[in-house]
Amino acid sequence: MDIIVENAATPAGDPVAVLKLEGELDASSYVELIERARELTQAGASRLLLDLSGLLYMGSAGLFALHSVAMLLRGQAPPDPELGYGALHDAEDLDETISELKLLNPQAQVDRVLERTGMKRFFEVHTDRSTALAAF
Amino acid sequence: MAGRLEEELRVARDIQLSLLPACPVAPGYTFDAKYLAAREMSGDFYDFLYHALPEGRLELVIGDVTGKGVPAALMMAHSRAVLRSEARRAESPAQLLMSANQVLTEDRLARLFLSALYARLDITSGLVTFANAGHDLPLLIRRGARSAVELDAPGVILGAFRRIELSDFSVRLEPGDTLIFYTDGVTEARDPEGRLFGDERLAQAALAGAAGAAATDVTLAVLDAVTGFMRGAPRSDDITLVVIQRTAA
Repeated sequence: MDIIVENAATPAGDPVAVLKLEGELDASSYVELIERARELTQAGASRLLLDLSGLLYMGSAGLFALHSVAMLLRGQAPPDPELGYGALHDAEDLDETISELKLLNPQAQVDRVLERTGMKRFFEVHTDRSTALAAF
Repeated sequence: MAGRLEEELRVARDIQLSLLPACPVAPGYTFDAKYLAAREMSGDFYDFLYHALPEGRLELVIGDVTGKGVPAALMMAHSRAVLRSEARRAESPAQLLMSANQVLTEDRLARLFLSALYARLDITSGLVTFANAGHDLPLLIRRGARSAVELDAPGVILGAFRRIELSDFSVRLEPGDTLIFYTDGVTEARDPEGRLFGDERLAQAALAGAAGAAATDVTLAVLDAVTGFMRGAPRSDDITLVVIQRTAA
């Protein structure tokens, strides 16, 4: 999977990092997305728009990545599935709609996974980039 | 030291495998379940619970813990115990999964996600009531049908969000009908060129197997198709299949 990062802004001028995902987000690539989001949040990013128009496939590991990115945006350490339980104890649960992370233009398969897993209740999904940016 | 670690991992894997039960026996049905482990420890599981068989009801769950390695395997064992415990008091599959979600998000062990599908089969009527927490949708193949139908049953994955609402869905199995549950290790299996096995190949293989006389024909047809497709490529995720077939009258 390739991740292309671009700086954008809301209509009010607040910065938004746009991450365009290309390829497949699955068990072999989801850590890349979490790591890229970690770098961006450590550099101060607080709003992320994931452009999914180039994402051909998303498996359940992708859901884990979305959840982890949302936690990073809230200043929480996401669980690390590779490190064991010692790293997993202190994370907080996410409860309501996640406003800091929005999704743009998922293709049919990805949209179906988001729908099937109930993720659309927690993540806003937009089909138009300017509308998505204005929604932050 | 490495030898001891390997030995301990091997024992852990054996314990994990021992948690997978034998298939039930009930008149008018055949059942089969197959599990192929990934190279690394992983978190797929299935389970059967019985209530007053042969005429009563059978419950089954198929689950997949997101993540890999020992944490996923521990979470798998923990999830199975939570689901078994909640199954004793829950009125419906949706209630059961929502209660399990509460336990999994409240106790601090469970920091990984669990996709799970829980189904109750009334042996006499063939009615299957099920709820889905972010798991792959089951496939229904009616007797003599030319295509498999995906049963649409959305629901939020467990362990991620504290408050979730899930719904019960139902389908009646008539004689000759087949119901297939699987984990994404099936559809995400890759060939040496990196292509995915995918939904369509799964449906075609299941359809061919469903023309046989028993649930085993379906699991074998799908596993043959998956392993043939992979041509020896390494398995990065567990592959799990559970099939119920109502015997043709």
